[in-house]
Amino acid sequence: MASTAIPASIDHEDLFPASLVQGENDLHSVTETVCGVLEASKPPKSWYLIFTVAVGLLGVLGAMIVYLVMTGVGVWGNNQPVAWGWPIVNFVFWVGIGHAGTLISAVLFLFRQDWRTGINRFSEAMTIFAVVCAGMFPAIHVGRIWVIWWVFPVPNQMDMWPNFRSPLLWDVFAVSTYFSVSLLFWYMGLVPDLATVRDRAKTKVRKFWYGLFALGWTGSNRHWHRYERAYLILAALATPLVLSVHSVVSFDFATSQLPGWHTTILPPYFVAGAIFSGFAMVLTLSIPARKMFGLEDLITLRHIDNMCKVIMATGMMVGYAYSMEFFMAWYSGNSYEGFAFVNRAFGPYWWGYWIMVSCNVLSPQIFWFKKARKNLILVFIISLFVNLGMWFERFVIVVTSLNRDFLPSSWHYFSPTWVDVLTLLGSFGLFFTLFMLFCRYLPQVAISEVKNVMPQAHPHLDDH
Amino acid sequence: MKRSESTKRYWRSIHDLEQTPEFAAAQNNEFAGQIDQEWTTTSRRRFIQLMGASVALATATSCRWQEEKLLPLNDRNPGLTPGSPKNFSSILDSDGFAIGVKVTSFDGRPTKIEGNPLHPESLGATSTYAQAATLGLYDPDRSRTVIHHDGSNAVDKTAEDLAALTAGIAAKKGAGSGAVAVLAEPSASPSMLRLKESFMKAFPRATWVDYSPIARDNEVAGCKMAFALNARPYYRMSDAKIIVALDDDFLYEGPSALRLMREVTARRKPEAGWMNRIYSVEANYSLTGGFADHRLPLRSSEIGAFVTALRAKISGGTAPTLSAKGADDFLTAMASDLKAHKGECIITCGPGQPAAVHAHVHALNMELGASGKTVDYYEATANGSGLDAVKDLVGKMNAGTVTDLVILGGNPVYDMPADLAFGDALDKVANSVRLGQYLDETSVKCTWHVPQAHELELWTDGAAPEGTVSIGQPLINPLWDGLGTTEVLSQLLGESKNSMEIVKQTSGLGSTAWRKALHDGIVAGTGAKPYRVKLRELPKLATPMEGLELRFIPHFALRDGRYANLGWLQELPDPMTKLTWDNAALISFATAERLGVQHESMVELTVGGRKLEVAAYLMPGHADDSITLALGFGRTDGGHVAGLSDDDVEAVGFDSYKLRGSDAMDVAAVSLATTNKTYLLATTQDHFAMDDIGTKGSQSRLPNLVKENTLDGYEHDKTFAKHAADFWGDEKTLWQELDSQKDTNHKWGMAIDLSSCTGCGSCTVACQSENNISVVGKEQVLRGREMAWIRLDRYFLGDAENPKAINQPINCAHCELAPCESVCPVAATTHSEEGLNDMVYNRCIGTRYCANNCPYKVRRFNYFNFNKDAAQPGNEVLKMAANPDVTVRDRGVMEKCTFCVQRIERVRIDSRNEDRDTFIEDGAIKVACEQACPADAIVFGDLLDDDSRVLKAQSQDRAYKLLVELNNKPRISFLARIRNPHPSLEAHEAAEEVVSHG
Repeated sequence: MASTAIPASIDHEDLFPASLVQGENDLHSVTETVCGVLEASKPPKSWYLIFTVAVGLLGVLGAMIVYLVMTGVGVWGNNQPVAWGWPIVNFVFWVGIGHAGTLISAVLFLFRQDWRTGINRFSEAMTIFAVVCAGMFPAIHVGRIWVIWWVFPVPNQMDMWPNFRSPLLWDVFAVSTYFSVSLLFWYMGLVPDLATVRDRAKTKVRKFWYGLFALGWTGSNRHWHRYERAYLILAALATPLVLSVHSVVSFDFATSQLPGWHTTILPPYFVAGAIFSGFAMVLTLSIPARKMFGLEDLITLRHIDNMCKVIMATGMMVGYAYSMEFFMAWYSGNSYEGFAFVNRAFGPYWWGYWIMVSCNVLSPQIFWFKKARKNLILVFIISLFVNLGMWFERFVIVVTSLNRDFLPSSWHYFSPTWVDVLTLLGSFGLFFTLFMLFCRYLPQVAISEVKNVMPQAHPHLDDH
Repeated sequence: MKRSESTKRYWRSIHDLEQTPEFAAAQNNEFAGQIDQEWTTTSRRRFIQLMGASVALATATSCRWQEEKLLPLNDRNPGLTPGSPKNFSSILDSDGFAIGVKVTSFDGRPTKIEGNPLHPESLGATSTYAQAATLGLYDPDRSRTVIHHDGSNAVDKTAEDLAALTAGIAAKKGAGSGAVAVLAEPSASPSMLRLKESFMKAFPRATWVDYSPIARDNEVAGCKMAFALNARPYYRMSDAKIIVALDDDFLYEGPSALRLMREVTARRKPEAGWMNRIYSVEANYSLTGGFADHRLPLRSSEIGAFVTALRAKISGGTAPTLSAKGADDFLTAMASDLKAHKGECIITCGPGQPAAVHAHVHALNMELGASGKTVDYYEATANGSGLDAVKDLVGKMNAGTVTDLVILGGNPVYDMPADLAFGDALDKVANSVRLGQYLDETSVKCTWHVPQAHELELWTDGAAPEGTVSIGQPLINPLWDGLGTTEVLSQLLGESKNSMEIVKQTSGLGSTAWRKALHDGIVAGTGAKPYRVKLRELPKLATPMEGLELRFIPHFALRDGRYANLGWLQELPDPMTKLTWDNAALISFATAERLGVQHESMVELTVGGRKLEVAAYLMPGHADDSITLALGFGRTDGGHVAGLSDDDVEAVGFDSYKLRGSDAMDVAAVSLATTNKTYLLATTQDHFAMDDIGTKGSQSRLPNLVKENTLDGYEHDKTFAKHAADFWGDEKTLWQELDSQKDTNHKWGMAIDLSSCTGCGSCTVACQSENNISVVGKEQVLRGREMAWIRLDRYFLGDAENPKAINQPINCAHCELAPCESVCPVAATTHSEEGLNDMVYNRCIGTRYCANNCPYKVRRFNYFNFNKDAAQPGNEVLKMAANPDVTVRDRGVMEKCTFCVQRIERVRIDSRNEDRDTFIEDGAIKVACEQACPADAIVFGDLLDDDSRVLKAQSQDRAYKLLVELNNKPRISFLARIRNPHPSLEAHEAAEEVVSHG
């Protein structure tokens, strides 16, 4: 637990009621804390443990993909009428998780929410890894992966463009744009910190690699000036993506004519849900990580408190969406639509629906209490619930809508196979492998940005 | 040829260099390696064979290209264009009778069976199992060599060994009584009858038994009892206004089913004048029961009592009481209808009813003036010898009297009544010779197995039930040198004629008449004259059996089990249960509850001390205290599809024959014990037992999906079908319709008449055959991955005790605003200029988005490579069954109905070649499902052609579009089903609604 005592070195506590950086930290100690993680000769034991498990699961994922490609997508539980099963559920799940990163780094940056600095690097990394996981699923999900490149608008001998009317194609653009902008944004933010690590490096290897990626950063005024301009522009560019990516993902469903999918509420509902799940994942990752790498002073209780509030707010938004879907299904008078929702809540997959509601709508309500927001174990558990609930939300949308559509003759129950389960677990392996590597080799906290929000960075308070 | 050594510089082998005598000889042999020894030392037998083959080939261009494969086809045979299919008329066997077919052959390779419109029992339609004949022909499991079982060794033998064997038997002409025996299948084939006669003349002391486990001998016995005639009833339903089926699935079972379906359904269209009314009284829910206007579930053993009660209602007398609920009202209505339509009514009786019931039904038909008008009696052919003869033969075998037993076809070890223990008796026969297509249960127990040629590999002849003779042409030379039954008989008689000589000799036709018979598929003027019958005094009918009854019925697709190795038929959903890859004990809800039986639980049935564990299937509308069990499953040596114990292929389904005793072949007293075991049954529709929400959901929507009305209701509101719940008229589209969606020369469309559709499934198999649709297996059906492009949705209506049923064939509707097209990211499914929703397989990457967005769920995905089997060594022959005009789909691509685009293109090409430009005559294109449909329920054609049948059908009052409110503009219209209930029974049913589907 971080100390909540106000350090003596800060003189202006009345102007900074809850300091963003706690403990007896000055500019140097922040650098020391963050760089210490990657400069330590050995990572903590728990890192080895998690990394081993993650790499193991990554191996499982590899095996599953090989099996899948060799055999056919029939190794999953997908059937007729549930032509999209777990892979698409997982895709939407991971894309959703990948949402918080951009929100935190771009939107909160534009809104001058300084508290974001402690967690933005972290959540941007999470975003990129989550989008990697997400992007994998639609690719392996197609029947003939060896011709997947046909979805890209590449000039080819067939003289064929992709079908620009298809929401799946929009997905291709939306997700790849999001991925590239997020990666760029993340990398740009990393450059000054990489230079710091380079400058502190003691081995040639480290010097070379960190130096290579630091792009010759010297910390000159000109560098800083351009850096901040570019950062602002990228933040402005990335902000619409926060809304667009998951809106476009939701178009896969909203523009189809399947009862339960064909609703206009889906884009905002998906965006809210994505932010919701993204913040939950940031919590899930940061609570153990700050402990593991001793970052309690930089990722403080205030960050966690804020994130809990965001989760509560977005949780209520998705709750609103759930109830509004029901209302519209009834109000529209469309019997198929009405049935789709009653079937969701009380049909064969009722349990999925109620897991979703209890995890996403009910469990975050506990964050009304400050005590709950300060109880890290409780916060961690609720964040897991939200992750689970958000996975189930996508399961409910995809599977329960498909399994009973228009003609009752086609109705068929969907059940996953072991390959479905192991592939999902494997995707966590991929995610955590990347994440653990990030924790070990890159600065987890944006050093330069954190320093910016420290009181030491503002010695002339009168100027404000 | 021989070169001098001095000039030689290059040599091919050491032998060449050294000029060994072998090499010199080989060099002189122009056809080295191609021609076997037999050419040089031609035996008399071989000479006749070759001559016969030459004659056969000269006559039948239908056969493969010339035998001499070493010569290229320098001069094309007249009329033969490689790649262009030809049609030949032939026949296929159906319960011993002939069904005329037209077989499509590509370059000498038969690929598709269609009905022969000239044949009196086909009228252009085909049954499900006739459609599967091509698959049977190319079944890689068919046996390929003569095998001698010497002790425990199976030794491959040659044709010479076989000749020696038959000669050995032929030498026993004078052997002791019953020493030589023949066990054959009942057949109406004139050649078989002739050869049987010759055989019995040549072997006067031999035993000849005809046995089929599903022979319709009770019909004949009933006629004997009623009229003292060897006759069978022959129904003419075109003029029948009232049709009563007593435990009779006449629309599907029996050699006349196709014709009857055509005749009956022609009178189910209200626009076409009067409608017939069908009553069905039966234990199991059959196809006929589902099609009937009124159906009474009644135990099979009570049908006799029902007949007595009906006779009492019609001509007075005391009526026994019946167990079934509502039986009295039913009887009263039926009797009043029958009395009001004397001479225009018909009562049919199922083959599973005892002879006495048949006799009483004949008497009823006489009383009602049906005889001579709607029922005729023709000489019975294809009769079995009866069980007494079978028992006698088994007795002789057990006694060791039979030394030589020749089994021609059939599969007696598998399908004989269990109490006869035919397999054990067979062990006591010193020399048993089996002619069979597979090395099956019987063949593995016989000392000799001879591969039997497929029907399409032989010259055959056959007769329809009213006597019309047909000649069956071979479409291909025997793939595995199989012999026909007639050829084996001929060998036994020492004649050794080939099938063509035999058939030609029997027919006695001159060359012109012969050619005409081959062309038409029938020998004109061979139809028999009906008997004039006189009723005899009939004994009173026995009182019904008490307690639980077990009915044995032929499986609707596998028949007695002979088609068990054909995947198309295994995977064809049963019309009523929708069950694939299994048979099950069908049992009513009430009886199941009473006995504590759960759906998909294993139950142990005991008949006469014989036990069988079988899965239970709770069947709506099944009579109480009755269990129905289909025959034809549980094959242990059926093949890699049906079950093959040698290769650890588990038998599909349950072997019902284990319960069947010679004392009760059709209906047996049974006891049932429950077990704790459960069993997964693969149905293509969810089972009846659904949760409340699903039941209510389907209940509220089904009246909008499958529209039906009574005749009165229809007269009252002719356009009732056009009312749609959520539809406010054509909606504007958000984007401009693409130019490709505006039709150019043609606008293909389809109309499906629900009033005619009986749900038989012929369309499904025809489509499978035409479009190379894969078989996926039970596991995949359980996962809901069956591939049928046209499926039959069956819904029940009313209470589970006695619901009505309705069938709806669903295939791709080729929507004008197809929801599948806009969502495909790679434009693999697009609209053609003529409005077809085309599927471009090699563009498809398999996102399956189209399937999600299809409201009819007609899209099928290749989750695996379902054609992998054909690549296995030894299975290549399977590839020959594929239609070369249709791509065989690989894994990972989507597929669905194409409106048989290959047929459209063929006709278009012909049309262009004949300078008719784009004009295509209505009816010139017949899509596969339309062609096969015995009920004429499907019409395909051009909606831009003002005179087309499809436009007329779509313009009818009854026409409606499925899910019209989605504004997809489907190109298929359904014509609402009209029922014609009896007014007095209608009141009961008016309040009923669709409650569930199975």
